[in-house]
Amino acid sequence: MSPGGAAAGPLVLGIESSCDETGVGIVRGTQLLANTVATSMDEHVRYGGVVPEVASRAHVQAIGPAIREALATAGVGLDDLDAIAVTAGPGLSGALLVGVSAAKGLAAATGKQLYGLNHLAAHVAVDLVAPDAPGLELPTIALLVSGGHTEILRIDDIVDGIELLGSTIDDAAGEAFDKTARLLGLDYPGGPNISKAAAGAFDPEGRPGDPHAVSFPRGLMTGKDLRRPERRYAFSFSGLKTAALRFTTADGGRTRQADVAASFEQAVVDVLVAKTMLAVEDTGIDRVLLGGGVAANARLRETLGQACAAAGVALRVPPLSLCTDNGAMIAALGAEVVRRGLPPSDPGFGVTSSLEASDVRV
Amino acid sequence: MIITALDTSGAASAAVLDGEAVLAERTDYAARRHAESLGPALRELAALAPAPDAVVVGVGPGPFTGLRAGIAAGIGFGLGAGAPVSGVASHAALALRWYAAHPGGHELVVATDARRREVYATRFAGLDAAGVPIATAGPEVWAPAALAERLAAAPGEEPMRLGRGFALYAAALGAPVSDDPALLEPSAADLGRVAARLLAAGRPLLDPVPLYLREPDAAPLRRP
Repeated sequence: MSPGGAAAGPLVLGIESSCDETGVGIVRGTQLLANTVATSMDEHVRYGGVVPEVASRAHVQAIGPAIREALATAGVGLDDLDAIAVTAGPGLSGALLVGVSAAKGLAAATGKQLYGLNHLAAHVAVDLVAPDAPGLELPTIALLVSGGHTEILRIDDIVDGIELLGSTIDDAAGEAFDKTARLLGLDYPGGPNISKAAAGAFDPEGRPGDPHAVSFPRGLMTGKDLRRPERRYAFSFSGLKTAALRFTTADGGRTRQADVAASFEQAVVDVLVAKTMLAVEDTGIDRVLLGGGVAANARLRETLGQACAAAGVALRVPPLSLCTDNGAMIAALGAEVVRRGLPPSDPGFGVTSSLEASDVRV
Repeated sequence: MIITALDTSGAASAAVLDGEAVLAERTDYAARRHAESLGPALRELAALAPAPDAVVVGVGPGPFTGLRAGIAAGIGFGLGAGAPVSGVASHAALALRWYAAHPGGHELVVATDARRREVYATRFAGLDAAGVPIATAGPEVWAPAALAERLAAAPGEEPMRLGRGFALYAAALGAPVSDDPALLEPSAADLGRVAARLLAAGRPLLDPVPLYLREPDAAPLRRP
Protein backbone atom coordinates (compact mmCIF):
# COMPACT_ATOMS: atom_id res chain seq x y z
CA MET A 1 0.00 0.00 0.00
CA SER A 2 1.14 3.49 -0.73
CA PRO A 3 1.60 5.96 2.13
CA GLY A 4 -1.82 6.77 3.54
CA GLY A 5 -3.23 4.29 1.04
CA ALA A 6 -4.95 2.05 3.54
CA ALA A 7 -7.46 4.75 4.38
CA ALA A 8 -7.68 6.28 0.90
CA GLY A 9 -7.86 2.99 -0.96
CA PRO A 10 -5.59 1.32 -3.48
CA LEU A 11 -3.76 3.36 -6.10
CA VAL A 12 -4.44 1.75 -9.47
CA LEU A 13 -3.48 2.61 -13.04
CA GLY A 14 -5.97 1.38 -15.66
CA ILE A 15 -5.37 0.91 -19.38
CA GLU A 16 -8.16 0.70 -21.97
CA SER A 17 -7.66 -0.01 -25.69
CA SER A 18 -10.68 -2.06 -26.78
CA CYS A 19 -11.78 0.19 -29.65
CA ASP A 20 -10.46 3.51 -30.99
CA GLU A 21 -9.63 5.24 -27.72
CA THR A 22 -6.30 4.74 -25.93
CA GLY A 23 -7.21 5.50 -22.33
CA VAL A 24 -5.06 5.57 -19.21
CA GLY A 25 -6.67 6.45 -15.89
CA ILE A 26 -5.41 6.55 -12.33
CA VAL A 27 -7.60 6.31 -9.23
CA ARG A 28 -6.91 6.12 -5.52
CA GLY A 29 -9.77 4.16 -4.02
CA THR A 30 -12.80 6.09 -5.18
CA GLN A 31 -10.89 9.26 -6.04
CA LEU A 32 -10.27 9.99 -9.72
CA LEU A 33 -6.73 11.34 -10.19
CA ALA A 34 -6.21 11.20 -13.97
CA ASN A 35 -8.13 10.28 -17.09
CA THR A 36 -5.96 10.60 -20.20
CA VAL A 37 -7.58 9.67 -23.50
CA ALA A 38 -6.03 9.70 -26.97
CA THR A 39 -8.45 8.93 -29.77
CA SER A 40 -7.87 7.83 -33.35
CA MET A 41 -11.40 8.95 -34.29
CA ASP A 42 -10.12 11.47 -36.85
CA GLU A 43 -8.20 8.75 -38.66
CA HIS A 44 -11.38 6.70 -39.15
CA VAL A 45 -13.38 9.51 -40.77
CA ARG A 46 -12.12 8.75 -44.26
CA TYR A 47 -13.23 5.12 -43.87
CA GLY A 48 -16.66 6.00 -42.46
CA GLY A 49 -16.22 3.76 -39.41
CA VAL A 50 -13.65 2.25 -37.07
CA VAL A 51 -11.08 0.22 -38.99
CA PRO A 52 -9.52 -2.25 -36.51
CA GLU A 53 -6.05 -2.12 -38.07
CA VAL A 54 -6.07 1.69 -38.09
CA ALA A 55 -7.13 1.69 -34.43
CA SER A 56 -4.41 -0.81 -33.47
CA ARG A 57 -1.73 1.24 -35.21
CA ALA A 58 -2.83 4.33 -33.34
CA HIS A 59 -2.85 2.49 -29.99
CA VAL A 60 0.78 1.38 -30.25
CA GLN A 61 1.81 4.99 -30.99
CA ALA A 62 -0.32 6.49 -28.22
CA ILE A 63 0.11 4.06 -25.35
CA GLY A 64 3.51 5.20 -24.04
CA PRO A 65 2.76 8.93 -24.06
CA ALA A 66 -0.71 8.29 -22.54
CA ILE A 67 0.78 6.38 -19.58
CA ARG A 68 3.35 9.13 -19.00
CA GLU A 69 0.77 11.87 -19.20
CA ALA A 70 -1.62 10.14 -16.80
CA LEU A 71 1.17 9.68 -14.22
CA ALA A 72 2.15 13.33 -14.55
CA THR A 73 -1.48 14.50 -14.23
CA ALA A 74 -2.05 12.35 -11.16
CA GLY A 75 1.28 13.43 -9.68
CA VAL A 76 2.23 9.88 -8.79
CA GLY A 77 5.11 7.60 -9.77
CA LEU A 78 4.94 4.00 -10.93
CA ASP A 79 6.51 2.90 -7.63
CA ASP A 80 3.51 4.35 -5.78
CA LEU A 81 1.02 2.10 -7.58
CA ASP A 82 -0.63 -0.78 -5.79
CA ALA A 83 -1.70 -2.50 -8.99
CA ILE A 84 -2.21 -2.16 -12.74
CA ALA A 85 -5.48 -3.00 -14.48
CA VAL A 86 -6.21 -3.46 -18.17
CA THR A 87 -9.19 -4.22 -20.40
CA ALA A 88 -8.94 -7.88 -21.46
CA GLY A 89 -12.24 -7.84 -23.40
CA PRO A 90 -14.71 -7.57 -24.97
CA GLY A 91 -13.53 -5.49 -27.92
CA LEU A 92 -11.39 -5.57 -31.07
CA SER A 93 -8.78 -8.23 -30.42
CA GLY A 94 -5.87 -6.47 -32.17
CA ALA A 95 -6.66 -3.27 -30.31
CA LEU A 96 -7.06 -5.01 -26.94
CA LEU A 97 -3.72 -6.74 -27.49
CA VAL A 98 -1.81 -3.46 -27.52
CA GLY A 99 -3.12 -2.38 -24.12
CA VAL A 100 -2.70 -5.84 -22.60
CA SER A 101 0.87 -6.17 -23.92
CA ALA A 102 1.87 -2.73 -22.67
CA ALA A 103 0.29 -3.51 -19.29
CA LYS A 104 2.18 -6.79 -19.07
CA GLY A 105 5.47 -5.06 -19.83
CA LEU A 106 4.76 -2.35 -17.29
CA ALA A 107 3.74 -4.88 -14.63
CA ALA A 108 6.78 -7.10 -15.27
CA ALA A 109 9.26 -4.23 -15.00
CA THR A 110 7.67 -2.73 -11.88
CA GLY A 111 6.76 -6.02 -10.19
CA LYS A 112 3.20 -4.78 -9.74
CA GLN A 113 0.23 -7.11 -9.83
CA LEU A 114 -1.82 -7.04 -13.01
CA TYR A 115 -5.58 -7.48 -13.35
CA GLY A 116 -7.25 -8.22 -16.70
CA LEU A 117 -10.76 -6.80 -16.47
CA ASN A 118 -14.07 -6.60 -18.32
CA HIS A 119 -14.82 -3.49 -20.36
CA LEU A 120 -18.59 -3.71 -19.82
CA ALA A 121 -18.35 -3.99 -16.04
CA ALA A 122 -15.92 -1.07 -16.08
CA HIS A 123 -18.46 1.13 -17.88
CA VAL A 124 -20.66 0.69 -14.79
CA ALA A 125 -17.85 0.69 -12.21
CA VAL A 126 -16.82 4.15 -13.37
CA ASP A 127 -19.54 5.58 -11.15
CA LEU A 128 -17.43 4.50 -8.16
CA VAL A 129 -15.09 7.39 -9.01
CA ALA A 130 -17.43 9.88 -10.71
CA PRO A 131 -16.83 13.19 -8.94
CA ASP A 132 -20.53 14.15 -9.17
CA ALA A 133 -21.92 11.01 -7.50
CA PRO A 134 -21.74 9.51 -4.00
CA GLY A 135 -20.64 6.22 -5.56
CA LEU A 136 -22.14 3.36 -7.48
CA GLU A 137 -25.69 2.68 -6.33
CA LEU A 138 -26.81 -0.92 -6.66
CA PRO A 139 -28.73 -2.84 -7.75
CA THR A 140 -29.18 -1.15 -11.08
CA ILE A 141 -30.15 -1.89 -14.63
CA ALA A 142 -27.41 -0.65 -16.96
CA LEU A 143 -27.93 0.34 -20.57
CA LEU A 144 -24.58 0.46 -22.38
CA VAL A 145 -24.66 1.91 -25.87
CA SER A 146 -21.64 2.71 -28.03
CA GLY A 147 -20.07 2.08 -31.42
CA GLY A 148 -19.34 -1.49 -30.41
CA HIS A 149 -21.90 -2.28 -27.73
CA THR A 150 -25.63 -2.35 -27.10
CA GLU A 151 -26.31 -4.20 -23.87
CA ILE A 152 -28.80 -4.29 -21.04
CA LEU A 153 -27.21 -5.59 -17.85
CA ARG A 154 -28.54 -6.35 -14.40
CA ILE A 155 -25.94 -5.33 -11.83
CA ASP A 156 -26.35 -6.65 -8.28
CA ASP A 157 -22.63 -6.53 -7.50
CA ILE A 158 -19.94 -4.94 -9.65
CA VAL A 159 -17.59 -7.93 -9.33
CA ASP A 160 -19.75 -10.98 -8.61
CA GLY A 161 -23.22 -10.04 -9.73
CA ILE A 162 -23.47 -9.04 -13.37
CA GLU A 163 -26.05 -10.64 -15.62
CA LEU A 164 -26.42 -9.89 -19.31
CA LEU A 165 -30.15 -9.51 -19.96
CA GLY A 166 -29.90 -8.68 -23.63
CA SER A 167 -27.63 -7.40 -26.37
CA THR A 168 -27.74 -6.74 -30.08
CA ILE A 169 -28.05 -9.73 -32.37
CA ASP A 170 -26.46 -7.85 -35.27
CA ASP A 171 -25.13 -4.26 -35.34
CA ALA A 172 -24.40 -2.14 -32.29
CA ALA A 173 -26.52 1.01 -32.09
CA GLY A 174 -23.47 3.16 -32.77
CA GLU A 175 -22.68 1.13 -35.90
CA ALA A 176 -26.24 1.66 -37.15
CA PHE A 177 -25.72 5.38 -36.67
CA ASP A 178 -22.40 5.26 -38.57
CA LYS A 179 -23.83 3.32 -41.51
CA THR A 180 -26.94 5.49 -41.80
CA ALA A 181 -24.84 8.64 -41.48
CA ARG A 182 -22.93 7.51 -44.57
CA LEU A 183 -26.24 7.12 -46.47
CA LEU A 184 -27.15 10.66 -45.53
CA GLY A 185 -23.75 11.98 -46.62
CA LEU A 186 -22.68 12.64 -43.03
CA ASP A 187 -19.21 11.94 -41.64
CA TYR A 188 -18.07 9.43 -39.04
CA PRO A 189 -18.80 9.38 -36.14
CA GLY A 190 -22.39 8.92 -37.23
CA GLY A 191 -24.13 9.32 -33.88
CA PRO A 192 -23.16 12.93 -33.15
CA ASN A 193 -23.58 13.92 -36.80
CA ILE A 194 -27.05 12.35 -37.11
CA SER A 195 -28.01 14.15 -33.90
CA LYS A 196 -26.77 17.44 -35.31
CA ALA A 197 -28.63 16.85 -38.56
CA ALA A 198 -31.79 15.92 -36.61
CA ALA A 199 -31.49 19.12 -34.59
CA GLY A 200 -31.38 21.09 -37.84
CA ALA A 201 -27.70 22.04 -37.67
CA PHE A 202 -27.20 21.26 -41.38
CA ASP A 203 -30.64 22.53 -42.49
CA PRO A 204 -30.49 25.72 -44.57
CA GLU A 205 -33.12 27.31 -42.30
CA GLY A 206 -31.86 25.58 -39.16
CA ARG A 207 -35.24 23.87 -38.76
CA PRO A 208 -35.11 20.74 -36.52
CA GLY A 209 -36.22 17.43 -38.02
CA ASP A 210 -39.62 15.85 -37.35
CA PRO A 211 -39.00 12.51 -35.58
CA HIS A 212 -42.30 11.19 -36.94
CA ALA A 213 -41.75 12.26 -40.57
CA VAL A 214 -40.55 8.83 -41.69
CA SER A 215 -41.95 5.60 -40.30
CA PHE A 216 -38.92 3.41 -39.55
CA PRO A 217 -39.20 -0.11 -38.06
CA ARG A 218 -38.54 -0.84 -34.38
CA GLY A 219 -36.52 -4.08 -34.27
CA LEU A 220 -37.56 -7.04 -32.08
CA MET A 221 -40.54 -5.16 -30.65
CA THR A 222 -43.44 -7.38 -31.81
CA GLY A 223 -45.56 -9.09 -29.18
CA LYS A 224 -44.02 -12.39 -30.25
CA ASP A 225 -40.48 -11.02 -29.78
CA LEU A 226 -41.33 -9.68 -26.36
CA ARG A 227 -42.78 -13.03 -25.25
CA ARG A 228 -39.58 -14.90 -26.14
CA PRO A 229 -37.10 -14.56 -23.25
CA GLU A 230 -34.04 -14.51 -25.53
CA ARG A 231 -35.54 -11.69 -27.60
CA ARG A 232 -37.30 -9.69 -24.91
CA TYR A 233 -34.25 -7.54 -24.11
CA ALA A 234 -32.40 -8.13 -27.38
CA PHE A 235 -31.78 -5.54 -30.08
CA SER A 236 -31.57 -5.69 -33.85
CA PHE A 237 -30.62 -2.69 -35.92
CA SER A 238 -29.91 -4.32 -39.29
CA GLY A 239 -33.58 -4.09 -40.39
CA LEU A 240 -33.61 -0.41 -39.49
CA LYS A 241 -30.40 0.16 -41.43
CA THR A 242 -31.90 -1.60 -44.48
CA ALA A 243 -35.09 0.42 -44.15
CA ALA A 244 -33.03 3.62 -44.09
CA LEU A 245 -31.19 2.50 -47.24
CA ARG A 246 -34.48 1.65 -49.03
CA PHE A 247 -36.05 4.90 -47.95
CA THR A 248 -33.19 7.16 -49.02
CA THR A 249 -32.87 5.34 -52.36
CA ALA A 250 -36.61 5.58 -53.13
CA ASP A 251 -36.94 9.09 -51.75
CA GLY A 252 -34.17 10.50 -53.92
CA GLY A 253 -33.54 13.40 -51.57
CA ARG A 254 -37.12 14.79 -51.49
CA THR A 255 -37.45 14.41 -47.71
CA ARG A 256 -35.38 16.82 -45.66
CA GLN A 257 -32.17 15.34 -44.24
CA ALA A 258 -33.19 16.66 -40.81
CA ASP A 259 -36.47 14.71 -40.95
CA VAL A 260 -34.79 11.44 -41.97
CA ALA A 261 -32.10 11.86 -39.31
CA ALA A 262 -34.61 12.69 -36.57
CA SER A 263 -36.87 9.78 -37.52
CA PHE A 264 -33.96 7.36 -37.61
CA GLU A 265 -32.63 8.58 -34.29
CA GLN A 266 -36.09 8.27 -32.71
CA ALA A 267 -36.44 4.69 -33.97
CA VAL A 268 -33.14 3.71 -32.31
CA VAL A 269 -33.93 5.57 -29.11
CA ASP A 270 -37.47 4.16 -28.82
CA VAL A 271 -36.22 0.58 -28.81
CA LEU A 272 -33.35 1.28 -26.41
CA VAL A 273 -35.70 2.96 -23.95
CA ALA A 274 -38.59 0.48 -24.31
CA LYS A 275 -36.37 -2.53 -23.63
CA THR A 276 -34.59 -0.86 -20.73
CA MET A 277 -37.95 -0.10 -19.14
CA LEU A 278 -39.05 -3.72 -19.67
CA ALA A 279 -35.96 -4.80 -17.72
CA VAL A 280 -36.86 -2.34 -14.97
CA GLU A 281 -40.43 -3.64 -14.76
CA ASP A 282 -39.46 -7.30 -14.87
CA THR A 283 -36.75 -7.07 -12.23
CA GLY A 284 -38.37 -4.51 -9.95
CA ILE A 285 -35.04 -2.65 -9.86
CA ASP A 286 -35.73 1.07 -9.56
CA ARG A 287 -32.48 2.44 -10.96
CA VAL A 288 -31.01 2.79 -14.44
CA LEU A 289 -27.43 3.68 -15.35
CA LEU A 290 -26.72 4.84 -18.89
CA GLY A 291 -23.17 4.36 -20.17
CA GLY A 292 -21.15 4.21 -23.39
CA GLY A 293 -20.46 6.90 -25.96
CA VAL A 294 -24.07 7.06 -27.20
CA ALA A 295 -24.98 8.44 -23.75
CA ALA A 296 -23.96 11.72 -25.40
CA ASN A 297 -27.14 11.52 -27.49
CA ALA A 298 -29.53 14.19 -26.20
CA ARG A 299 -32.64 12.48 -27.57
CA LEU A 300 -31.71 9.24 -25.79
CA ARG A 301 -31.00 10.99 -22.49
CA GLU A 302 -34.22 12.96 -22.72
CA THR A 303 -36.47 10.06 -23.75
CA LEU A 304 -34.96 7.71 -21.19
CA GLY A 305 -35.21 10.43 -18.55
CA GLN A 306 -38.93 10.89 -19.24
CA ALA A 307 -39.60 7.14 -19.18
CA CYS A 308 -37.71 6.72 -15.91
CA ALA A 309 -39.48 9.69 -14.33
CA ALA A 310 -42.86 8.30 -15.38
CA ALA A 311 -41.98 4.93 -13.84
CA GLY A 312 -40.56 6.45 -10.66
CA VAL A 313 -37.10 5.12 -11.47
CA ALA A 314 -33.81 6.97 -10.84
CA LEU A 315 -31.70 7.57 -13.95
CA ARG A 316 -27.97 8.03 -13.57
CA VAL A 317 -25.75 9.23 -16.41
CA PRO A 318 -22.09 9.66 -15.43
CA PRO A 319 -20.25 12.69 -16.85
CA LEU A 320 -19.74 12.19 -20.57
CA SER A 321 -15.93 11.98 -20.30
CA LEU A 322 -16.51 8.90 -18.13
CA CYS A 323 -19.20 7.41 -20.44
CA THR A 324 -17.02 7.20 -23.53
CA ASP A 325 -14.24 4.62 -23.40
CA ASN A 326 -11.55 5.63 -20.92
CA GLY A 327 -8.89 4.24 -18.63
CA ALA A 328 -10.37 5.65 -15.42
CA MET A 329 -13.21 3.15 -15.60
CA ILE A 330 -10.73 0.28 -15.72
CA ALA A 331 -8.75 1.79 -12.86
CA ALA A 332 -11.99 2.24 -10.87
CA LEU A 333 -12.95 -1.41 -11.30
CA GLY A 334 -9.35 -2.41 -10.59
CA ALA A 335 -9.32 -0.46 -7.33
CA GLU A 336 -12.52 -2.18 -6.23
CA VAL A 337 -11.11 -5.62 -7.10
CA VAL A 338 -7.89 -4.84 -5.19
CA ARG A 339 -9.86 -3.44 -2.24
CA ARG A 340 -11.64 -6.77 -1.99
CA GLY A 341 -8.29 -8.58 -1.87
CA LEU A 342 -8.99 -10.61 -5.01
CA PRO A 343 -6.03 -12.33 -6.70
CA PRO A 344 -4.40 -10.84 -9.84
CA SER A 345 -4.75 -12.45 -13.26
CA ASP A 346 -2.33 -15.15 -14.37
CA PRO A 347 0.54 -13.45 -16.27
CA GLY A 348 -0.29 -15.67 -19.26
CA PHE A 349 -3.80 -14.29 -19.75
CA GLY A 350 -4.86 -13.25 -23.22
CA VAL A 351 -7.45 -11.00 -24.78
CA THR A 352 -11.00 -12.24 -25.32
CA SER A 353 -12.85 -10.24 -27.95
CA SER A 354 -16.22 -11.72 -26.92
CA LEU A 355 -15.65 -11.79 -23.14
CA GLU A 356 -18.97 -12.43 -21.36
CA ALA A 357 -20.36 -9.58 -19.27
CA SER A 358 -20.45 -11.80 -16.18
CA ASP A 359 -16.71 -12.55 -16.44
CA VAL A 360 -15.54 -9.42 -14.65
CA ARG A 361 -11.98 -10.68 -14.10
CA VAL A 362 -9.91 -12.93 -16.37
CA MET B 1 25.24 -2.33 -20.25
CA ILE B 2 22.11 -4.36 -19.52
CA ILE B 3 19.72 -4.65 -22.48
CA THR B 4 16.25 -6.16 -22.41
CA ALA B 5 15.27 -7.23 -25.91
CA LEU B 6 11.97 -8.41 -27.38
CA ASP B 7 11.09 -9.66 -30.82
CA THR B 8 7.65 -10.88 -31.87
CA SER B 9 7.99 -10.54 -35.63
CA GLY B 10 7.78 -14.35 -35.88
CA ALA B 11 8.52 -16.13 -32.63
CA ALA B 12 7.61 -14.70 -29.23
CA SER B 13 11.03 -13.96 -27.84
CA ALA B 14 12.50 -12.03 -24.93
CA ALA B 15 16.08 -11.85 -23.65
CA VAL B 16 18.33 -9.98 -21.27
CA LEU B 17 21.91 -9.27 -22.26
CA ASP B 18 24.93 -7.71 -20.61
CA GLY B 19 26.52 -6.14 -23.66
CA GLU B 20 26.60 -9.00 -26.16
CA ALA B 21 26.49 -11.71 -23.51
CA VAL B 22 23.05 -13.28 -23.22
CA LEU B 23 22.11 -13.60 -19.54
CA ALA B 24 18.74 -15.24 -20.11
CA GLU B 25 16.40 -15.89 -22.97
CA ARG B 26 12.80 -17.06 -23.34
CA THR B 27 11.78 -17.91 -26.87
CA ASP B 28 8.65 -19.65 -28.06
CA TYR B 29 9.14 -20.48 -31.74
CA ALA B 30 5.66 -21.99 -32.02
CA ALA B 31 3.99 -18.89 -30.63
CA ARG B 32 0.53 -18.17 -31.96
CA ARG B 33 -0.42 -15.84 -29.15
CA HIS B 34 2.45 -13.50 -28.46
CA ALA B 35 0.92 -11.44 -25.67
CA GLU B 36 0.18 -14.56 -23.64
CA SER B 37 3.74 -15.88 -23.68
CA LEU B 38 5.39 -12.49 -23.18
CA GLY B 39 3.70 -11.90 -19.81
CA PRO B 40 5.33 -14.81 -17.98
CA ALA B 41 8.59 -14.45 -19.96
CA LEU B 42 9.06 -10.82 -19.00
CA ARG B 43 8.24 -11.53 -15.34
CA GLU B 44 10.90 -14.25 -15.25
CA LEU B 45 13.54 -12.16 -16.98
CA ALA B 46 12.86 -9.19 -14.72
CA ALA B 47 13.38 -11.43 -11.69
CA LEU B 48 16.60 -12.97 -13.06
CA ALA B 49 18.52 -9.92 -14.22
CA PRO B 50 19.29 -6.38 -13.10
CA ALA B 51 17.13 -3.52 -14.38
CA PRO B 52 18.00 -2.68 -17.98
CA ASP B 53 19.82 0.43 -19.19
CA ALA B 54 18.06 0.06 -22.54
CA VAL B 55 15.03 -1.76 -23.94
CA VAL B 56 15.07 -2.75 -27.61
CA VAL B 57 12.22 -4.14 -29.64
CA GLY B 58 12.21 -5.84 -33.03
CA VAL B 59 10.22 -3.50 -35.27
CA GLY B 60 9.68 -6.18 -37.88
CA PRO B 61 8.59 -6.47 -40.50
CA GLY B 62 6.22 -9.19 -39.33
CA PRO B 63 2.52 -10.01 -39.04
CA PHE B 64 1.08 -6.87 -37.48
CA THR B 65 -0.82 -8.14 -34.49
CA GLY B 66 1.99 -10.24 -33.06
CA LEU B 67 4.58 -7.59 -33.93
CA ARG B 68 2.65 -4.93 -32.02
CA ALA B 69 2.38 -7.19 -28.95
CA GLY B 70 6.17 -7.16 -28.57
CA ILE B 71 6.55 -3.47 -29.29
CA ALA B 72 3.78 -2.50 -26.86
CA ALA B 73 5.22 -4.81 -24.20
CA GLY B 74 8.63 -3.23 -24.75
CA ILE B 75 7.19 0.26 -24.41
CA GLY B 76 5.49 -0.75 -21.15
CA PHE B 77 8.61 -2.51 -19.87
CA GLY B 78 10.80 0.48 -20.67
CA LEU B 79 8.45 2.84 -18.87
CA GLY B 80 8.36 0.54 -15.88
CA ALA B 81 12.13 0.16 -15.80
CA GLY B 82 12.82 3.82 -16.50
CA ALA B 83 14.89 2.87 -19.55
CA PRO B 84 14.71 4.26 -23.09
CA VAL B 85 12.95 2.08 -25.68
CA SER B 86 14.37 1.77 -29.22
CA GLY B 87 13.83 -0.37 -32.28
CA VAL B 88 16.00 -2.64 -34.40
CA ALA B 89 14.98 -4.18 -37.75
CA SER B 90 14.14 -7.81 -36.99
CA HIS B 91 15.85 -9.25 -40.08
CA ALA B 92 19.17 -7.86 -38.84
CA ALA B 93 18.93 -10.29 -35.91
CA LEU B 94 18.79 -13.32 -38.22
CA ALA B 95 21.56 -11.90 -40.40
CA LEU B 96 23.85 -11.39 -37.41
CA ARG B 97 23.24 -14.93 -36.18
CA TRP B 98 24.35 -16.28 -39.56
CA TYR B 99 27.36 -14.01 -40.00
CA ALA B 100 28.58 -14.55 -36.43
CA ALA B 101 28.90 -18.28 -37.19
CA HIS B 102 29.98 -17.87 -40.83
CA PRO B 103 32.40 -14.95 -41.19
CA GLY B 104 33.29 -13.84 -44.66
CA GLY B 105 30.60 -11.45 -45.77
CA HIS B 106 28.78 -13.76 -48.14
CA GLU B 107 25.65 -12.15 -49.64
CA LEU B 108 22.56 -13.12 -47.66
CA VAL B 109 18.81 -12.74 -48.15
CA VAL B 110 16.57 -13.01 -45.10
CA ALA B 111 12.92 -13.77 -45.91
CA THR B 112 10.15 -14.18 -43.34
CA ASP B 113 6.43 -14.87 -43.47
CA ALA B 114 4.35 -11.84 -44.50
CA ARG B 115 1.09 -13.89 -44.68
CA ARG B 116 -1.22 -13.53 -47.72
CA ARG B 117 1.18 -15.76 -49.69
CA GLU B 118 3.92 -13.13 -49.57
CA VAL B 119 7.26 -12.74 -47.77
CA TYR B 120 9.21 -9.90 -46.23
CA ALA B 121 12.79 -9.86 -47.55
CA THR B 122 15.99 -7.96 -46.77
CA ARG B 123 19.33 -8.42 -48.55
CA PHE B 124 22.57 -8.17 -46.55
CA ALA B 125 26.24 -7.92 -47.55
CA GLY B 126 28.27 -8.90 -44.51
CA LEU B 127 29.07 -6.91 -41.37
CA ASP B 128 30.30 -3.36 -41.12
CA ALA B 129 33.19 -2.14 -38.94
CA ALA B 130 30.94 -2.18 -35.87
CA GLY B 131 29.92 -5.77 -36.61
CA VAL B 132 26.40 -4.78 -37.65
CA PRO B 133 24.81 -6.49 -40.69
CA ILE B 134 24.84 -4.22 -43.76
CA ALA B 135 21.40 -4.11 -45.40
CA THR B 136 21.70 -3.39 -49.13
CA ALA B 137 18.02 -3.77 -50.11
CA GLY B 138 14.73 -3.97 -48.23
CA PRO B 139 12.95 -4.82 -46.16
CA GLU B 140 10.21 -5.12 -48.75
CA VAL B 141 7.13 -7.26 -49.38
CA TRP B 142 7.43 -9.78 -52.19
CA ALA B 143 5.32 -12.44 -53.84
CA PRO B 144 7.57 -15.53 -53.83
CA ALA B 145 7.68 -15.75 -57.65
CA ALA B 146 8.65 -12.09 -57.98
CA LEU B 147 11.38 -12.42 -55.36
CA ALA B 148 12.71 -15.52 -57.14
CA GLU B 149 12.93 -13.54 -60.38
CA ARG B 150 14.69 -10.65 -58.66
CA LEU B 151 17.22 -13.00 -57.04
CA ALA B 152 17.90 -14.75 -60.34
CA ALA B 153 18.36 -11.44 -62.15
CA ALA B 154 20.69 -9.92 -59.54
CA PRO B 155 24.34 -9.80 -60.65
CA GLY B 156 27.15 -11.41 -58.65
CA GLU B 157 27.21 -14.42 -56.39
CA GLU B 158 24.05 -16.29 -55.47
CA PRO B 159 23.03 -15.17 -51.96
CA MET B 160 22.58 -17.50 -49.00
CA ARG B 161 18.91 -18.02 -48.15
CA LEU B 162 17.84 -17.62 -44.54
CA GLY B 163 14.48 -17.56 -42.80
CA ARG B 164 10.97 -18.96 -42.63
CA GLY B 165 10.00 -17.35 -45.94
CA PHE B 166 12.27 -19.78 -47.83
CA ALA B 167 10.92 -22.75 -45.87
CA LEU B 168 7.32 -21.75 -46.65
CA TYR B 169 7.92 -21.20 -50.37
CA ALA B 170 10.84 -23.57 -51.00
CA ALA B 171 9.46 -24.59 -54.42
CA ALA B 172 9.57 -21.02 -55.73
CA LEU B 173 12.51 -19.64 -53.77
CA GLY B 174 14.73 -22.60 -52.89
CA ALA B 175 14.99 -24.04 -49.38
CA PRO B 176 16.73 -22.07 -46.61
CA VAL B 177 20.32 -22.94 -45.70
CA SER B 178 19.16 -24.12 -42.28
CA ASP B 179 15.97 -25.47 -40.70
CA ASP B 180 17.21 -24.61 -37.20
CA PRO B 181 14.29 -22.69 -35.62
CA ALA B 182 16.76 -20.03 -34.45
CA LEU B 183 17.71 -19.46 -38.11
CA LEU B 184 14.10 -19.35 -39.32
CA GLU B 185 12.69 -16.64 -37.02
CA PRO B 186 14.47 -13.64 -35.47
CA SER B 187 15.20 -14.05 -31.75
CA ALA B 188 15.43 -11.42 -29.04
CA ALA B 189 18.95 -12.56 -28.07
CA ASP B 190 20.25 -11.88 -31.58
CA LEU B 191 18.30 -8.64 -31.78
CA GLY B 192 19.86 -7.57 -28.48
CA ARG B 193 23.34 -8.33 -29.86
CA VAL B 194 22.68 -6.10 -32.88
CA ALA B 195 21.54 -3.37 -30.50
CA ALA B 196 24.61 -3.84 -28.27
CA ARG B 197 26.90 -3.39 -31.28
CA LEU B 198 25.03 -0.29 -32.47
CA LEU B 199 25.06 1.25 -28.98
CA ALA B 200 28.74 0.42 -28.42
CA ALA B 201 29.56 2.19 -31.70
CA GLY B 202 27.47 5.19 -30.68
CA ARG B 203 25.12 4.62 -33.61
CA PRO B 204 21.44 5.53 -33.51
CA LEU B 205 18.72 2.89 -33.16
CA LEU B 206 15.27 3.12 -34.73
CA ASP B 207 12.13 4.44 -33.07
CA PRO B 208 9.97 1.69 -31.55
CA VAL B 209 7.51 1.91 -34.45
CA PRO B 210 6.43 -1.14 -36.46
CA LEU B 211 7.73 -1.51 -40.02
CA TYR B 212 4.33 -2.24 -41.57
CA LEU B 213 5.27 -1.98 -45.28
CA ARG B 214 1.56 -2.29 -46.09
CA GLU B 215 -1.34 0.12 -45.73
CA PRO B 216 -4.29 -0.88 -43.52
CA ASP B 217 -6.60 -3.21 -45.41
CA ALA B 218 -9.60 -0.90 -45.73
CA ALA B 219 -11.04 1.15 -48.53
CA PRO B 220 -11.59 4.84 -47.92
CA LEU B 221 -15.14 6.02 -48.60
CA ARG B 222 -15.94 7.16 -52.09
CA ARG B 223 -17.72 10.45 -51.98
CA PRO B 224 -19.62 11.91 -54.91
